[in-house]
Amino acid sequence: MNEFEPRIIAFACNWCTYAAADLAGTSRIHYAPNVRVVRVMCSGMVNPIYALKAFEGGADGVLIAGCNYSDCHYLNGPIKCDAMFARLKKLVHTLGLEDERLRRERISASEGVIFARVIDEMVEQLKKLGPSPLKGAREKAPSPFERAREEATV
Amino acid sequence: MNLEDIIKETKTFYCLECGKCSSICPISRYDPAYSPRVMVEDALLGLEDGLVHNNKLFSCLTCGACQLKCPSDVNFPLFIQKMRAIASNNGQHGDCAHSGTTQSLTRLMANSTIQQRRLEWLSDGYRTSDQSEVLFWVGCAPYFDTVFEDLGFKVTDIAKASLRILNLLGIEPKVLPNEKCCGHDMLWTGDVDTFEELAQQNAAMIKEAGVEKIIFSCPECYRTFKEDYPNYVDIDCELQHISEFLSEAIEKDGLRFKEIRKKVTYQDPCRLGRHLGVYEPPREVIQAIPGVELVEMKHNREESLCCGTSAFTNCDLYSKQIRVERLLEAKATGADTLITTCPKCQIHFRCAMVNKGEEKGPDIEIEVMDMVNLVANALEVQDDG
Amino acid sequence: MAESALVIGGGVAGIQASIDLANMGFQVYLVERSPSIGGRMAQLDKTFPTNDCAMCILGPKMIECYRHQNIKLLSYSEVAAVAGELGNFEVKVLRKPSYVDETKCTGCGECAEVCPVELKSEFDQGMGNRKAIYKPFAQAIPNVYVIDKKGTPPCKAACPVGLDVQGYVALIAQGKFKEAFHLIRQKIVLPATVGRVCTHPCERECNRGKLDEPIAIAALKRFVADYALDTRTEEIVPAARTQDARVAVVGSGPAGLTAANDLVLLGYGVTIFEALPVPGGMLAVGIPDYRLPKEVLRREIEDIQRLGVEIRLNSPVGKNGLTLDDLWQEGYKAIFIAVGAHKSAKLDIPGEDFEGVYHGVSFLRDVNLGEKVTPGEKIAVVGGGNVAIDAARTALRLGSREVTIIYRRSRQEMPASDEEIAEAEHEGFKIQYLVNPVRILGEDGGVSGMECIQMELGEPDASGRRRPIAVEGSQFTIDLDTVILAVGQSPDLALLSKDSGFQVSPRGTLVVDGKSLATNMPGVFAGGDAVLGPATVVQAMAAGHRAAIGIDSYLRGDTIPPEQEPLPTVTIEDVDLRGKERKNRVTMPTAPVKQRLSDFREVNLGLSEEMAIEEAKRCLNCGGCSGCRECEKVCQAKAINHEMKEQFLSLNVGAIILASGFDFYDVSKLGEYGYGKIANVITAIEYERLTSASGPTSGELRRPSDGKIPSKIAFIQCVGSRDFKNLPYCSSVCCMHATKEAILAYEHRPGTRSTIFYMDLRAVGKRFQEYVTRAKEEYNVTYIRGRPGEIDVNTANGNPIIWHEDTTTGETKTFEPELVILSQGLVPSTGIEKLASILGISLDKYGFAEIPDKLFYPLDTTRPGIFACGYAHSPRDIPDSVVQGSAAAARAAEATAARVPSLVAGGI
Repeated sequence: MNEFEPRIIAFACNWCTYAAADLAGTSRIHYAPNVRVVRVMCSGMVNPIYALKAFEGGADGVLIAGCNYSDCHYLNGPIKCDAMFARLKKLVHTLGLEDERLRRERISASEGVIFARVIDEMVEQLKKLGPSPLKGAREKAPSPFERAREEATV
Repeated sequence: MNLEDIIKETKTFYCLECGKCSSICPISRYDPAYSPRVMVEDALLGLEDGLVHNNKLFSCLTCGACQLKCPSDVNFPLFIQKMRAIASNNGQHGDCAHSGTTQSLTRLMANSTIQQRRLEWLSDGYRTSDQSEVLFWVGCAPYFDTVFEDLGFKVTDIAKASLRILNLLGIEPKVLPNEKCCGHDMLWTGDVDTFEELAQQNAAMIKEAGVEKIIFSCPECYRTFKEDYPNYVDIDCELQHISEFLSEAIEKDGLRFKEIRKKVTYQDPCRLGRHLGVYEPPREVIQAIPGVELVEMKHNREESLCCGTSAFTNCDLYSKQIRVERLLEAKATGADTLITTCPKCQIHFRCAMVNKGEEKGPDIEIEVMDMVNLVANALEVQDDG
Repeated sequence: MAESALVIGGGVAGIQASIDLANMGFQVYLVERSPSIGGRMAQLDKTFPTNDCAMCILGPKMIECYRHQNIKLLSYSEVAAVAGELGNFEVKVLRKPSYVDETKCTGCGECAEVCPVELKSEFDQGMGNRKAIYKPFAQAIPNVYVIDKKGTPPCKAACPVGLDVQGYVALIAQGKFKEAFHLIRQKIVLPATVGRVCTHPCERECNRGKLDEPIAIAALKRFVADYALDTRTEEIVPAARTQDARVAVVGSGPAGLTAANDLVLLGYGVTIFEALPVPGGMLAVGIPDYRLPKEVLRREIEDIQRLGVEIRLNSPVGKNGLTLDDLWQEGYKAIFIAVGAHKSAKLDIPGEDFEGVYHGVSFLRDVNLGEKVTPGEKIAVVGGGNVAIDAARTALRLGSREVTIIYRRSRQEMPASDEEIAEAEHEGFKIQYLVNPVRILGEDGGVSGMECIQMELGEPDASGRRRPIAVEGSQFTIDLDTVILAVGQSPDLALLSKDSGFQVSPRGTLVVDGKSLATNMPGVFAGGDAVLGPATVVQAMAAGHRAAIGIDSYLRGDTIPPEQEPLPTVTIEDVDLRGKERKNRVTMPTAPVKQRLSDFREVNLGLSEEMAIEEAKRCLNCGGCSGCRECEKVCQAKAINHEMKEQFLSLNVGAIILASGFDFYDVSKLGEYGYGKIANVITAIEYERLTSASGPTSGELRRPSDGKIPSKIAFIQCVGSRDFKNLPYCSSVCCMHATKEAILAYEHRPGTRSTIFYMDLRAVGKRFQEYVTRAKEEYNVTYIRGRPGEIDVNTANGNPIIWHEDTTTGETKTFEPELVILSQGLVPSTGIEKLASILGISLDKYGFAEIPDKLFYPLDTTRPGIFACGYAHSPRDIPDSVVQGSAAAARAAEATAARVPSLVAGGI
C-alpha cells in the first residue's frame, strides 16, 4: 500500500531554528523524515516567492521558522517575517490551499524537542489532508521549476 | 515556431532598417543599449542565439508604438512574443519583478485541481447571479490586492465599482469562483505551455457557465481573450471592455450622473488603445459626467506613452524614467486626476509615486483613479463594500 | 482632314506632347484646369542636377506652346465628357467662367491693384497671397487674369435684396469708403437708414460667426453712408426722362421709395402719394429718433427726390382723397401700392377702449409727428416685436418711470431683435415672459390696472412657434395707468373700394404674383408690408426693386427677364481658415445710459474710421471675388465681364493624352512629424517657394516662426512614401530635390549646414550621383541614414527637435536644426478618379494610369486612343516626363495614323 508521505520544505534561520534542528539531531530525537530544511540567515529575509516556488516544486507543506522576537541576531527579523507572512498567508489562502499547509513558528536554538514536535505535527496534519492540490496536476508540462528539479535529480 | 517562421509571420523581412522604431521607442529614449532595429537586424542575420540570450529581449514593453509608425508594418510586439517563447525554451526568462511572485501565482493557478477562494472581497452589496448571460471577468485583482498592498489602493475596488455600475443598469452578472489567470503575462514572457493550459481551463469553465457575453475591466485580459485565445481555444461569446459597455449604456440614456467638478486627463492603456483600437469609449464615458473636464496629454490616443512595464518583467530604472515622464505629462495638463482603464497602469504609476526614493526628483504626485471608480462616484451610490 | 489630338494637363509633359504633335501637323487642344500652363515645374526654384532656373528653361517652351499655330490652349478648362473611340473621340470641354475676356485682357494688372480681396495663393502653397482677380504667377501663359468666384457668400445669399455685402466690406477694409457707398446705393436706396435699423439677416449667416463673431455688417453700412452724407461734394444729377409713361406710387415707405428710385432711373416719371405729412412710412413714424434721427432719413429721401421723384405729402389715396380711378384718369400708366401695414391689431379684451390705452403704431406715430403724448408713470406694453420695444423705450423717454413689456411666449420665441431686447437691461425696462393680459381695469375712464394670466408653451402652431396656453387659476393683477398694445399690424386697404375686385388674403394683405408683384388688376402692383404683413425694411426694398422690374416690363409690353441662377452659397467648410485667429467684433459706442434717457438723442454713436477698417478686415472673403466691381472700373481694355457663364466646347479628336501631373500627399496625417503644429516644419514644395525669387519672401529663405534665416537645416526623406501605411511606393524625385534644396540653402547663405535623413539615396539619373557627391564635398551637406520617429519642438526658440536612431551605434539621439523640410510623398493630381471615369480608363490603386502592356505599349491606357505620360503615368522627374511627353505624342500619332491594333486585346 502506498501511504502518502508528505514533503515539507522548512526555511530555518541559521541562528535559532537551524540550530534547534541540529540539536534535535545530536540529541538523537526521532522525528518524521519528511522535512527538507533550507538554512537561511534570518527568517526576516524569507521572500514569499520561496514558499510559492516550494509549492510549485511539489511541496505539500511549507514551514517558515526563526528566532523569537528578542533573540534575533539582526534585531528585527521576526517582525519583518511576520509582516511578510501575513501577506503570504493571504495569497496561499486565495489560491485555495488549506491553512495547515503553510506554518510559521518561532523556535529558539535550544528547543530541539519543539522542532521535532512541530515537524511531527505537520506531517500528521498533511497526511490527513493529502497531497497538495498544486502538485503535479498540470495537464501539459510541469512548471519550469518542477522541470528543473526533475532534470537535477536525473 | 522557429526563427524563420517568426520572421515570416511578423513581416520582419520587410524591415528597411530605417530606425524609426528605435527613435520612437520609449525605452530607447532612456536606455542607450536598447534598439528594436538592432534586434530585428539580428534576427534577419540569423543571430538567434545572441537574441535569445540577450536579456534586453525581455525589456520590450510590447506597447506597439513602433508598429504604429513602422513604414514596413513590421509586427514587432508579436515578434518579441514569439522570440520570448524560443528564449523560454532555452531557459531564459527575463528578470521577473517582485521576485517573480505574480508569475509564480499564475503558474500555480494553472494546476487543474485547485479550488481558489478568490471571491472573498465580494460582499452582499454587490449582486451576482448564476442565471445571468453576462459574465464579469474579475482577473487577478484578489491577488494583486495582497501583492501591492503598499500602493494605497485595492485592485478589487475596480471590480466592485464595475459590479455596482452593472447592478445599477439592472445586470447581475456571473462571476467564476475558480477563474484562472488569463495568462497574458505567461504568453508575453514565453511560457506558452502554461498559457495554453490556462486558456483551456478558462474556456472549459466559460463553456460550462453558458454565458453569451463577457465584460472585462482589465484591458490585458480583454486583449488576450480577443486576440490570443482564438489561436488556442474557442470562446463563443461577445467580448467587451467595460468602457465600451458603459459608453453604449450612456448613449441609450441608462445612467443618471451627479455633478463632479474635476479636471482629469486620460491614459490610453497600450492593450486597450494601440492593440485593440479602443480610444473613444472611455473618453465618452468620462465626458458624460457633468462637471468633469477632460484635458488630453501631449501624447494621446495612438501616440499615447506606455506606463513603463509589461508582464512584470525587466522593470528597471528605465521603466521608472518612462513612468516619470508620463506622470509629468499628466501633470502638465493641469489635471487633478489621472484616469486610466487598466489596473496594471494604475499599479505602475502608483509604484513610481510611492517609491520615489531619497533623491529630490520632479513632483509627480497626482491622483490616479480607474474610470469605473470615477463613474461609481458620480452615480450617487453609497459604497458599503 | 488634319489629325487632331487632345492633351489634358499643361505641365512640362503636356507641353512637350503638344508641341511634338503640333510639329507633326496635328491640331492640338491643350486643356489645363488652372489659369496657366507650366504645372509643378513652374513652382520650382531650380532643377536638379544642373541647378538651372526652372522658369528660365520652361518659359520658352510655354511660349512656344502658346504661340504655335497648331495648338489651341484651353486654359481654366476641364474635360467634362468623352465619347467615341480612337480616331473619333467626341470630347466636351467645360470652359470655366473666368469673368475676364481672354481676347481682350492684356495682363496689365491694374485690376489686381484695386481688388480689395486677398486670398491665399495656390501657386505659393498658401504662404503668400493673391487677389481675387489674379494671374497665378508673373510669367503665366496665357498672360491674362482670372477672377476667382468661390460661390455666393452667405451674407449676400441671406440679404433679401442680394446686396454685395462682401463687396462693400472689402472696400471699407481698403479705406475706399466712397466706392463702398456707391456699391451699396445701387441696391439700398437709404443706406444710412438701413444701416441703423436693418434686422441684418446677413449677420446671422456670416461665416465669421462660426469662428468667433459675425462681421458688424449693419454698422459698417451705416458708417459708410454717414461718411458719404458728410463728405459729399457732388450734386445729384436728376435722371434722364426717356419714357413718356408716368407711374404712381402709393406710399413713401421703403418699398415705395425703392420702386420710385428704380423707375426714375429707368426713365419714367414717378409721383409718390403719401398720406402722412412726412415721407418715409414706418421709417418716419414707426421708428423713434433715438434709433433713426429724422435728419438722416430726411436727407436720404431728399436725395431720391433730387433724382426726379415727386413726393406729394398729405395726399392719401382712397377714402379721403384720390381714388385709383382718379389716378388712371390723371394719366398714370401703372400704380404701385406700397401702403405698408399701419393698422394696429386689436387684442379684443375688455377695457381696450379705455382712455390710457394706446396702440403701439399710433402711439409711435404721434410721438414721431411731434404731437404731445404723455403716457403715465406705470406702463405695460403688450407684445414681443420691435414695435413693443420701441414703444417701451419711447415711453421711458417721455417720462414714464416703470415700464414693463408683457409677452405671451418665452424669450426664445420673441420676434424682437437681440440688440433691442438687450436694451432692456441698459435702459431699465422689464420684460415679463409667458404672461398674457385678460382684461384692462379702469376707473373714471382711465386705466387703473390690468389682469393677467400666466402662460405655458404647448405644441407649435402654424408659425412654427410653440402655442401659449393659459395656466388655469394663475391670474394676477398689475397696477398701472397706461397700456400700450403692440400685438400686430395689418395693411389699411381702405383705398380699395369694396367691390374693386382686388384679391385679398385672409390675413388682410394684397395677393400678388411672385415674380412681377402684379395684383390681379392690370397695371396695379403691390409690395412691402401691404403684401407680406409686418415684415422688415429690406424685404420691402426687395419688393420695390422687383416691382420696378415688373412695372417696366409691363409698360414696355415685354416679359420679365429671367433671373440669374446664383452660385451655390459658400459654407464655413469651404473657407480657408489658415492663419485666422479668433477676434471678437467691434463694439458699437453708445450714448451713456443716464443721459440718453432724457431725450431722443441717437443711442448708437457709429464707428470711427479706424474701427470700421479693423472690423472690415475680419471678413473672411468667403465668396472670393466680392463683387465690388472696382476691377471693372479700371480695366481700360474693357475685358471684365462679371456676368460670364460657363461654356461647353465640343471637340472632335483622334487621340487623347493624359498628362495631369501630381499633387502633394497630406503629411499632417503623420502626426509624429508635427507638420501643421510646429511652425518650422515645412514641406519641400513650400521650401521651393521660399527660395524662389518670385515667391512670397522674394527668395529669402526665412523660416515661418520668426523670419530668421536658418544656418542649420534638416531634410527628412520618404515622408508618406515608402510607407505601407501611407504610400508604399517611392516618389522618385525627393532624394534629388532634397540634395538640390540643400545646395541652394548653402548658395543663399554660405556656411549653412544641411543634414538629410534618408533611407536609400536614389540618384539614378545622368550625373545624379556626381551631384550628390558635390553636395557632400562642396556644400556642407551631411547624409544620415535613418528615419526619424518623432519631431518635438524647442519652445524657447522654435527649433524643431528630431528624434532619430544613430544606426551605426544603435543609440537614440536628438538633433536640433532651425528648420525641417519634409520631402513629402507625391500622388496623382486630385480629381484623377473623376477624370479617369470621364475618360473611361482604369487607374491602379494609387491613382496612376493602369497600363496593361508595359512592354510593347508602355503608354497605352486601358482605353484605346488614350495615352498617359508624366507623373500621371508613374513617378518620374522632369527629364523623364519630357521624354514620355514626346513618346506619347509619337504613340498618339502612330495610333491615329496607322490604326494598327496592338497585341493586347482591345488595345491600340
